[in-house]
Amino acid sequence: MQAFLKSGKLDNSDKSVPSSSKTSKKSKAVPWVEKYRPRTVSDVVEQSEAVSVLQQCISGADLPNLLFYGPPGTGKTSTILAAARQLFGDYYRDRILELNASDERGIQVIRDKVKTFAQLTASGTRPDGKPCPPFKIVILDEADSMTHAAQAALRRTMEKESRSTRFCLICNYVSRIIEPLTSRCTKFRFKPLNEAMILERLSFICGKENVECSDKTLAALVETSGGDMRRAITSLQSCAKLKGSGVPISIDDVLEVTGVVPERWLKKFLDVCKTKDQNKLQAFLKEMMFEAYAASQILEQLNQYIVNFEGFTDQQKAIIGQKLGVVSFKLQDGGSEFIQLLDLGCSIIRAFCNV
Amino acid sequence: MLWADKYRPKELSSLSYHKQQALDLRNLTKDGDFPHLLVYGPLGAGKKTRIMCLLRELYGPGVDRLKVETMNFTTPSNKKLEISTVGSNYHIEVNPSDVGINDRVVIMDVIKNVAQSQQLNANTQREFKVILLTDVDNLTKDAQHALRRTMEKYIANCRIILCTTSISRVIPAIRSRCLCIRVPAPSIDDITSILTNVAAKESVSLPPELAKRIAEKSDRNLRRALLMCEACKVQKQGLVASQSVSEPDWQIFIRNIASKIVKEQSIATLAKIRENLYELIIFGIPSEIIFNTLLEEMLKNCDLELGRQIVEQAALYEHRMAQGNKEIFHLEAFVAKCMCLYQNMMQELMACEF
Amino acid sequence: MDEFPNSDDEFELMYGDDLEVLHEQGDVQRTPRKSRRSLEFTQTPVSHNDNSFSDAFTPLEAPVPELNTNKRSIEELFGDIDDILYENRANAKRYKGDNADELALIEHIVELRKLNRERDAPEIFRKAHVQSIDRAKDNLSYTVPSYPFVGVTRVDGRRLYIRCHSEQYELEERQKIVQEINLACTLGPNDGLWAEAQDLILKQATAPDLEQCYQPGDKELWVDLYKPRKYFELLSDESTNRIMLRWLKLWDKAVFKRRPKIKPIKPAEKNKKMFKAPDLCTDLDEHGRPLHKIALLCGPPGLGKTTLAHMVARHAGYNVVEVNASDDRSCEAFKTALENATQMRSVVDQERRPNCLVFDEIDGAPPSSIDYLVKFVQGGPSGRKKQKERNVLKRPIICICNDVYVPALRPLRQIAFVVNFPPTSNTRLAERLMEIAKWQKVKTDMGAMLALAEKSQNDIRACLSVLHFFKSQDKAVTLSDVHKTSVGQKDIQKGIFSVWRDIFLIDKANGDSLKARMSGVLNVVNAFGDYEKIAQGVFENYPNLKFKNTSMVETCLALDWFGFSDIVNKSIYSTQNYNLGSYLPFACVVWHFAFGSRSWQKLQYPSAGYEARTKQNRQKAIVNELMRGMQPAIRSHVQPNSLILDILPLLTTIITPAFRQISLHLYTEEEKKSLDNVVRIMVDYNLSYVQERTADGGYDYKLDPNIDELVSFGPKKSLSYSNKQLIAKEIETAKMRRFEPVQPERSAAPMPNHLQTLKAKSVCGVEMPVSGQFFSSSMC
Repeated sequence: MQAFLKSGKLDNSDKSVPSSSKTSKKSKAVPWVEKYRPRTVSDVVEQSEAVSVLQQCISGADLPNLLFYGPPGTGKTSTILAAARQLFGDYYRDRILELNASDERGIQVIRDKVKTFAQLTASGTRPDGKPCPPFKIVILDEADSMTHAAQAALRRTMEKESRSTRFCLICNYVSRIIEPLTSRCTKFRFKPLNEAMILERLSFICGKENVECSDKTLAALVETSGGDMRRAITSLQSCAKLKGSGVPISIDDVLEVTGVVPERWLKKFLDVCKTKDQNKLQAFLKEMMFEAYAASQILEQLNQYIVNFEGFTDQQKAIIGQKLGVVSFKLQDGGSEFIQLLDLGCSIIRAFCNV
Repeated sequence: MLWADKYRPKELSSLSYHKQQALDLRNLTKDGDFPHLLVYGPLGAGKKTRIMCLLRELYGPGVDRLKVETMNFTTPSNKKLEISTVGSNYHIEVNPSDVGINDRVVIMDVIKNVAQSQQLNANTQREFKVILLTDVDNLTKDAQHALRRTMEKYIANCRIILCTTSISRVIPAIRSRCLCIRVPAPSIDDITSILTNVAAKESVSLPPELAKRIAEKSDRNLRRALLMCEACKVQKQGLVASQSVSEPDWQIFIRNIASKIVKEQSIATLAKIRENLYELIIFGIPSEIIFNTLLEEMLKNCDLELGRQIVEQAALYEHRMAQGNKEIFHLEAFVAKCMCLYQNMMQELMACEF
Repeated sequence: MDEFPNSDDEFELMYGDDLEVLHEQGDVQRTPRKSRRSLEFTQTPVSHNDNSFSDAFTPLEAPVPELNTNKRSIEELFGDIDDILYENRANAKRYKGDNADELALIEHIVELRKLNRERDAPEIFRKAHVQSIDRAKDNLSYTVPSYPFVGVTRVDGRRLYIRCHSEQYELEERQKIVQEINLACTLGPNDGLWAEAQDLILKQATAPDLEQCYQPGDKELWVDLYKPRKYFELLSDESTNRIMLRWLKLWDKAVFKRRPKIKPIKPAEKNKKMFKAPDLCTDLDEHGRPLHKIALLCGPPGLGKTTLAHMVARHAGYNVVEVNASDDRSCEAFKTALENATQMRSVVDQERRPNCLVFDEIDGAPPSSIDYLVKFVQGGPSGRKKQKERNVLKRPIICICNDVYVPALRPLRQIAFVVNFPPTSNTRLAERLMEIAKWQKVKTDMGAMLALAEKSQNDIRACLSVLHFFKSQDKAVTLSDVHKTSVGQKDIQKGIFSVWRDIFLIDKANGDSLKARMSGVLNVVNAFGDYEKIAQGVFENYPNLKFKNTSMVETCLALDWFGFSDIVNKSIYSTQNYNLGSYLPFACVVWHFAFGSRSWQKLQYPSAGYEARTKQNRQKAIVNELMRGMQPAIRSHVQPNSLILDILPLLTTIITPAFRQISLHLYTEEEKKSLDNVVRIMVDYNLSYVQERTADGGYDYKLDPNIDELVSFGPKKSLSYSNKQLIAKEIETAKMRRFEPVQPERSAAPMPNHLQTLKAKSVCGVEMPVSGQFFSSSMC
């Protein structure tokens, strides 16, 4: 069984148990995300539905097959790991098989690895003698990137091995999971985290790690995270690293680390478009490119900005929004940043002209 | 030595612009821990210089003792690959995109090799080695996904520094695992003052106007600016303000293509332009840069509406080019479209006049 | 119904003539088969050296074999024609006009006869032979004889005198012999046949050209018709033939229980031979078998490997059993074939020849079969324990393949005697083609045949097919004809050109409606299948069309489709989703509508794309070369991209400052400094000047690696010859200086790494900026 686990997220799960000796020796290397992962199901914030089901299970009820979906950083993986730990104690790693997108997850693996793991029987007692539910858990992280063939192969396995195995599928987009699988699982949607929750968690971590951080900065961090706890914590750690200990973190640092484009650039972008001068637009975009901001980030922020922008009619916003979508798609697909942004700029100019 | 090489800073403290960032980077090395880094910024902004300075800060001057090595790999399909690396005792630099679609194998192998070999010298202060991957934006998606897991797996004994021009091409999963360092291009003023300083050091009198002009022509690419400056100096012993600044040939070449498009719109011209485009491709100019430059040149002689149309088409064709394999098809299609639009506009103008 | 005769009548109507002919021929039908066989296989070749000599005897001894063959050859001919008659009655009428064919065969065989001297030939032969030797005493003389003579000089320089007989005498002699032989003839006296044959020869000799090239009724392919029937007719490389034969002869001990007559090749001889054929190991194992139990013949198609195998085997007295791709080659079938052929005595045919197994096209056989074969040959113990005794392979096996490096053949390769089949020599093939052309009365010349041979890459089969094709066109074959045909490039190219033509041509015959045009193009394109190639061809040809009335709008549309096909192709390759391929043909329809015209367009094979790619690779190689040789300190800061975009274009300017053309010590300080700088830069970037001979005989220095080629889009300023020479020299010394100081360093006491580095750099004489305070001070 060890062999299986080795190819799973071994290192991650390693670090998620900062138990005793290990932490003290190598505490530096542990990312805060892992360090401050919720230990118990009840630590998980907000996702009340899933939490209540899992809590029932811990108190003795049966566990259905689970399907967690929702935006990244909302605690999907943390929840199931915490549940597993509570169910099976410190030896929980023997009882779970975790596969994520970076593992080989073709149909062959589903056939061999998952099946073999599923066929192992699990006893009703833990190695330390306490009772525990007689099943194992297969966690398929990032299940939406599995091929359809692999998902289809999973179908039967899921039903056949229901006696001894529970599956937990985790994904961002439930639409990418084939229908037969979703119908076999209990679905839980993980909502983006409440900003206050993240703020609370961040300030808790700040306190623990001796990071000086004003409330305003924390608020900025939370805002840039967009409800993604992992991102917020990672950003916080990066800032702290960059600044060194004892130096307060400023808002600019946060922006820099998160790669957020300062709002003045967006404002200027629209201003330049307003002049309806193509050459100016070109020059401006070039300059922006030299600043090396990620175009996808620019688009994302621009989207927000334009939606809230007062100077446009709804129709104009619609036109621009449509273009934003197209441009964003092309960019993701490998298009050139400069040309795509230029295209967007031209559309905005046109929108201005049509006032 | 070229000025660009000769006056390259070696220490974080001696970097001449983005000083705050330099300080931050220094902080990064103070702690025993060191995250994976993703350094991004345009060409000639000094990414590599910064990385080398950082490594020097980490390991001391030993990183300057570089050697070039050739590594051999075998793909699962039994194809032999060869890639040359530059490295010191503490780090190794690989450009995995050299091997095209087999980059995944190379990355995995290199990282595994490095991760499995412990530092022999016990008194070195770091317990990890650094793997420097350049040109990450040209990595295949496959390789990037592989990298994501490998990064986590071997974090104990190696750190990865990724160097890329465009962060959009790096998948978010990698971005979120790295500390991203943005290196903007130096401003025109930065470049001008560096040029002046270098000239002073070389005891060449550089008229400020010329310095400014070079800086502007260099596309805020410091390396290019220094090279241009040196080329100017070679061309003429005493530099004068009005001197012409030599540009890279390919820019002029693309400019000529643009003017051909405007001059005559016919299939014969198209055939001629095709030859030129082939030439550019042969010379190894990245197709994206051909496209960008061509578009810029085209836009120089367009009115607003025509410009908008051309840009729209450019966005379309450029995207297609990134999708496809044969750049020439898409480049030519764009050129033809430009001709077509231009013709239309001329006809409309004629119609208006009469 | 009335107009039509009933089916029986119809048959009679159609084949009446044929039936008649058949009846006429009835009596001569049956005999030929065996005789032909025996003729073919029982004779051993006479080495060519003898020919000149035996030719000298022809006037005298020709009648004997000639007569014999004539008889037989005509029978043989009849036999052939019978086959044809049965196969295709409709053509049987033409039998009468078969002279050309007949003549060719007759002459062919006559010629063979002349060359043959037989030891184990039938009785008559021996008799005649003895006779002729007896007569030779009367008719040959080393001294000037008393009878009328013709003088001949032998190869060794000896002068011979040969008696001349009058026509009359010869006729008598001949008749005499004929009578003698007739005793042995199965058909009884047949003077008429002989006379007929004589007639035919006469006719051919007198008026070969006047006679029209009548369509011969040969339904046999020329490839089969002119298959070498003798060992020495083989066109393949002499040494290859010989070594195969020698290998086969090694089996004599095991198979025929007689000592192989092969003498080990004398070392001197071995050296003389240029051929690369592997040395044949002549040792025999305990069963008297050669060391290599299997011969593996490999080489490109159409060289005559199969023919050689058959020929050699027959020549060595084996009955050939062939297993080729058309047969079932599963492991099971393989096993039976092997066992049948090699173990069963019962399979030995009437002539009691042992079998020789020939596996043709073995590279296509499943690996398991080949494994089995290997095991079998090595005495395959595992599967067949009960038959241990008889398990030993006692028959030679010849395997034939095109590609010897197919992975499945690996085990076989190790145990087999591998004979690489060299390409047939050009001239030899051409000569043979000429012969055939002569027989077939195709007018041609050696040049054309040579060209044909070359064009088909010495593929005999291809050549013969083309010749056959020309023959059917019924005109002389000239060099230009050969060039025009599309052999050699294999037929695919012919196909693709017609596809392109169909795209560019609006064919009135197909109807003008768009629908008809569309479906026409779709059909053609779908049939061809290689859409990428079609696209490339259309792309490279459309700007050169003669009558362009295509507007820019249409061109744009068409070009969009090029982009589309490119994208689809890419995604097909990257995702292996071949379903997408069904969208590709429609691009061709668009191109047809955009570029199609009514006039005939001259199309060219698209090579620009390919050329560009090769050139691009070359450039890449130069860049790589440059990168490899760069000083590490600089290398680490240079990326190929920035090298191409920024550094190289300007570098070429920087390293060509305006030097005066005077000797070094006349340079000013300033100039010396700049020279020094140039040298350093060039060393850093691994550049140097290399002397090269130019086309006009002079010398010039070129950059190495030649980055001028890489970056210049036009003529570039370059230094004068003497300057380059100077720089080249300086670079040498600079490089030397760089490497030298490192030596003592190494022996020095071990120091911390970083200190060592610093020193090495300073000794190198390269000024490193100690630190960049300079920069920092400037910026604030």
